[in-house]
Amino acid sequence: MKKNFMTLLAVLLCMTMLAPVAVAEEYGYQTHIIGDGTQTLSILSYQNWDSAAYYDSEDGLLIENVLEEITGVNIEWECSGEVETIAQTRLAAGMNLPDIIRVPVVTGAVTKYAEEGLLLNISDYISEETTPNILKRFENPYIKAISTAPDGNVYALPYCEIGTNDIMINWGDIRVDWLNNLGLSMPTTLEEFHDVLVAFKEQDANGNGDPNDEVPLGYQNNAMFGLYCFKGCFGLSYGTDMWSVDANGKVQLDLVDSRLKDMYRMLHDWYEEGLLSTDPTNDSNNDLLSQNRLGAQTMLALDNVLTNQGIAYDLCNEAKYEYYPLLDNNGYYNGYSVPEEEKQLDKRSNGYWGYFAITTDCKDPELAVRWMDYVWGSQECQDLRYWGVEGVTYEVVDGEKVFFDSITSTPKGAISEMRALGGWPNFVGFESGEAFMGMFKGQYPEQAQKEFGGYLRDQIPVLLGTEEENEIYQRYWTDLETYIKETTIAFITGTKSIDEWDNYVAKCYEMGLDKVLEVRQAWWDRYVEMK
Amino acid sequence: MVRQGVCGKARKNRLWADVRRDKYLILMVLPVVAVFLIYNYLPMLWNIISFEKYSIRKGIFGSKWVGLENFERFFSSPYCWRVIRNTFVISFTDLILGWPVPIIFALFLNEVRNVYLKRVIQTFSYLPHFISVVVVVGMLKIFFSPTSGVVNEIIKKCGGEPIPFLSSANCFVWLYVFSGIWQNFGWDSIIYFSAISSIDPEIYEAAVVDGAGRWRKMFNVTLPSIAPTIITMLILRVGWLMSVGFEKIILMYNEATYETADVISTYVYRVGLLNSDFSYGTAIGLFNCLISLVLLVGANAISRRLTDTSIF
Repeated sequence: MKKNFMTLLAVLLCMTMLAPVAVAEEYGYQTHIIGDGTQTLSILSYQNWDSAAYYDSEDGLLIENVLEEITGVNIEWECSGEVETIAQTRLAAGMNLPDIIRVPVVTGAVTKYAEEGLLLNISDYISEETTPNILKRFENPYIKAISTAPDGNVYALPYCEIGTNDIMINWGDIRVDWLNNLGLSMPTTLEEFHDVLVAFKEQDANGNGDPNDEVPLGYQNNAMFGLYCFKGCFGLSYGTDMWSVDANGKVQLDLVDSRLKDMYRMLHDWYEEGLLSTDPTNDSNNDLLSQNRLGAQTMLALDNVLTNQGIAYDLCNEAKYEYYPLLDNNGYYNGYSVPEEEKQLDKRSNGYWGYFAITTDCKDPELAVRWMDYVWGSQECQDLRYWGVEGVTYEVVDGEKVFFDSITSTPKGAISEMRALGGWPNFVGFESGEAFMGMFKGQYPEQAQKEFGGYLRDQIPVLLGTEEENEIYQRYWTDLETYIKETTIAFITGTKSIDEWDNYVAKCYEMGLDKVLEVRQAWWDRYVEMK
Repeated sequence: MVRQGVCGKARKNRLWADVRRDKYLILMVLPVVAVFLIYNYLPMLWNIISFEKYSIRKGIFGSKWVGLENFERFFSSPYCWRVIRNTFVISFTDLILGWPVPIIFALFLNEVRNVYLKRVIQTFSYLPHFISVVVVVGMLKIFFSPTSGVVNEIIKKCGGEPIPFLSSANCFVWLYVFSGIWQNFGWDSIIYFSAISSIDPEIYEAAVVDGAGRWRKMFNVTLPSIAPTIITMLILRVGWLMSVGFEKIILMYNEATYETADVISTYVYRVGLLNSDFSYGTAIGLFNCLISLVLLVGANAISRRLTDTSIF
């Protein structure tokens, strides 16, 4: 018994010793470009978004292993799904910090923790020799603007989604096969859209014999509150951004624009007609999708369209979701759309998702900065992490990268396949738009990109504010946002009459909207200046 | 007076002698005392940050003292009145409806003769207590869903219009309270069962001799006998009044129900923790504790005067 056990142990030991074979060189990468293989950096970040492949697993993941060999720096993982809470607690204690940390996503967090002296001032190390790649990235004024604190220093680098954000549509989708079932064509105006929803409601669009089980319009991002995306049909921009800048360069909050009064009146009527999902959250979304009962949705990103289709597919293999056009509006509820050439669709986000910083507890700051420079800034690393390894995940055909079928044509989906290998990471990154489109070659996202890509406009950016700005923003916006959200929903469901619109706007100002606007204005002005 | 002066030293010696005699007992109780000190008393020190503009690096002793600014900010917040009101409304409804249910349940179940049946009912009644609150809220959401919930299916079958229970501000308190009662009445009744079982059977026998029926016995023997337990439980519940089920509300509420669902603790969570505005959050939390303290002491005093039962 004991002997068997020892044999087993020996075998296991051999296996673990054999496992990490140097592969990076085999794939043609230059190795040990930053460290000599003995140095280590600890990182606190999310666990890999794949249910089976973990960053901190025994053998590691292919792409992370290659990355470690190229840089010659080993990564000591601290992974968790509760990173926000853990990082917040650790930073609040101010002790025992990892070398590289994901700064919690709270307005002003970077400035605050930098002020507290917990984050390394990366600017001290920025130079042509040490950080050529960061400097190259900073040639893009927007990236520089979102990375720079008001004191002119860089304390953290954003997880950049600019590449994907620039091509990511975020708009509503509709069941094309339902339209076909009912002999309807794709709606192009808001009024036609309404008529389609009515048809979904009154007829048996999903063909299951029950004309009453269809829910015409549900929601994705921002749930019921997200219905404000129809503001485009009332003269503002289509989509997600609540903020806009007028012709004089003045920042405004769209949600208190008096033109939206008619929009809320319309949405309330739709609610009364039973066209909207009565669940103000997203809780019932997946149920409705999987039960083949959801006709249309507002505010969802390109990859979600495919995900939703996948969910509905189980019950109905004809299920087909596509974006409906940016609806025109000729006087429906006094609305008017901006002319075709001025139509704007807000991008999904500000182009970044949280920040990564080096803490002042880091023993070898220069090494960490150089690591960040390579991982965040270099093209080679971006290709490695979002395209994978040539010959394993993609090949080059006529000078263009093409993913292998083993990545794109699996039931799991391309992003999941890449994540299983450690690609499409969620720490210190710079997403590649080409790789994203590469995963969906010949699929609906390509078509959608052609149709809507021209309308995309930047969101009004959230910059790293000064301590004072952040304090004002935090203090007033938290309550204001709650108030605006609940009032919007109250207008739609009718618990508040739209006649109270003027009171609502007045209350917003009473709650400090002008102060928040001042801060947003200052951010915008600084951004314009940097641009 | 004189005695005290003389005995000062002797008393000290006696204390030391007591300690030596009970050293093992003291050793046994020490870990418990330590846990309470570390986790319940030491954190109270940090309440100081509610009077400061807390900075992590400067710590609680180095941060800037701002006095009552954080409290002023809370009282001038547009949501101050609403969260206080909601906290009271939810708590009192829960107290008034939830407190008698386990008592009535215990009284009636006590009258069931069949021991086997009695045990089965009791077991089933306290099973829901072991379901995690996340699951309970999940069940609520499934059962009361406006699109596919069983409750609304029944309403539809009866010819009614589906009601969006979970997004209706009017329904929130009832859903919250009744699901809480369903989950906990069985468990809460255990303490009353044990109180009932400790009543001297001779009293019942004497009552029977005096010609009392079952109702009379219930009202004139059982109820007065367990009255001290009932009062103690009530005082304890009043002490818990302001700490309404925070996790459950966070899981249940949404923008459509904030009007009746947003309570002090959820507000603290949103502004204090999510926004890492620690000083402000602590200030509101401290205010909440003060109300709790007043309520507890008040309930205790009233009870002592009226019923001679009190916990301190």
